Amino acid sequence: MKSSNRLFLLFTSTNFLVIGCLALLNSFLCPWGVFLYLPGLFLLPHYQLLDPYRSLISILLTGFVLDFMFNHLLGFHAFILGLIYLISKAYFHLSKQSSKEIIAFQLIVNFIISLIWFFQCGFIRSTIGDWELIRFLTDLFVSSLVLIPVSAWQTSLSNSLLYHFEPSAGQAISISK
Amino acid sequence: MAAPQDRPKFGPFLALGCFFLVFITLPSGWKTLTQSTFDEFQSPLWEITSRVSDLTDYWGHQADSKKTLISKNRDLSRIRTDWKLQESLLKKWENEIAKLNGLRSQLRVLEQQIGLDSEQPYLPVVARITHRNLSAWWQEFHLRKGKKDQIKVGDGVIFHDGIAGRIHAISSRSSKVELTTNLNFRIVAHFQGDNRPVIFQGSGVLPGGQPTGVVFDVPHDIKIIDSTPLLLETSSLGGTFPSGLPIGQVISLEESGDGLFKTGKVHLSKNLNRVSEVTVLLPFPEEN
Repeated sequence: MKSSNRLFLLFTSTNFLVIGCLALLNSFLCPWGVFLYLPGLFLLPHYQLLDPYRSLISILLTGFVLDFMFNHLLGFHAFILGLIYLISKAYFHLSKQSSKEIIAFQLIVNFIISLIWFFQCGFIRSTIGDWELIRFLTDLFVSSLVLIPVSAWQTSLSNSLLYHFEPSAGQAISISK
Repeated sequence: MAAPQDRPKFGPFLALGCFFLVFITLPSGWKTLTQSTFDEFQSPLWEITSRVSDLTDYWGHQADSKKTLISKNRDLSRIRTDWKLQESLLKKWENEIAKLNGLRSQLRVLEQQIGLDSEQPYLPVVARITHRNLSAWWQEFHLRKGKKDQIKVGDGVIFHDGIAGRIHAISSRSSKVELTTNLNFRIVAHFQGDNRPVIFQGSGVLPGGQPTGVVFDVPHDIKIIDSTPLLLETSSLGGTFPSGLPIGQVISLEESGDGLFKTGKVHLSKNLNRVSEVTVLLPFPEEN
């Protein structure tokens, strides 16, 4: 198998695994009326190692799974994440950005997508439920807090997997602390 | 002039745009098919997770201390005593059952004579919850049982505090329950001790975990006295649930916009978010 295909499978399956963990975590947290909404987490800086087309397919698949799992409009996250990835592609420079910058980028993306989904819920209230303002603010605040450690964990998980499965690509990564 | 490597590449944008166009023109049947295929694919994974969680719970109890075991044994002996007491009353309960069956057959005869629809009997199926998805916009449970256990879309789901929701999607070994808090969940209900029908609709979960709903079309003479909440119950008019099951407590009532009826806020049981096992009510076949 080609190296780029291996990387594609690796990043996509890592994203699927993180979505599964997120679903379990949400299932555990829901009695307290909190929902972790973290779509920004899936814009990994490691996509820099792939060509734009493979990255886009990986992001589209991740987005569709996210939509299926958390009952969003089918295709919402797939296309939003895809578009944000393409627009911000110039930002993905593994060797040039620190983990703080990655977290800041993911926080901003998370905020933008949350805001779009909040307005979307308001517009099509009859099809999908409503995301009330107070609940939106609570969820956004808690999600942003949780995103910081989870983002660091996910980046380090992707790094270790990369070193394990694709050592040549793994050596190319040097994210500064 | 910009160097070739500095020029923006529009190929991926074009690919995304084309895929988007193809996606929105795809018939909804294809999307539904993909979704149900994905459900079938992922449900065993959730079942495994749920079973592993049950097993962890079991092994966790294996390491219980002597103190815990003594306290559990004390509870068990109390249950056993109660069980023995109930067994001694067996003869009495059998007589009561015979009496009730006699009354039921009399009722059926009377219903036939005056042309009333009889209360639909239900077959209970107990199912464990694999995971919950309680976002602000959609609230659902995933159950371990599906088509193989005769569960169908639209079947009512109850738990120890009242109604939990109804089945809205199903695959061979799993099913999804749309909860009573869901905005799309609407049923006919009535207040305890008042047979006039009202409409209940879910309205999500508040921060802190309080499940809520709204009641519409409440007659004007129904009032909340001394801040005592009114109990809302299911009505047999809906067909999904038997009559008289608790839905929640109406904590406030106010005039609706039309001036004809009142609208109220309903607080549902907090245990709805924590429940780990529910009962699906299957409609009993007429011929049985």
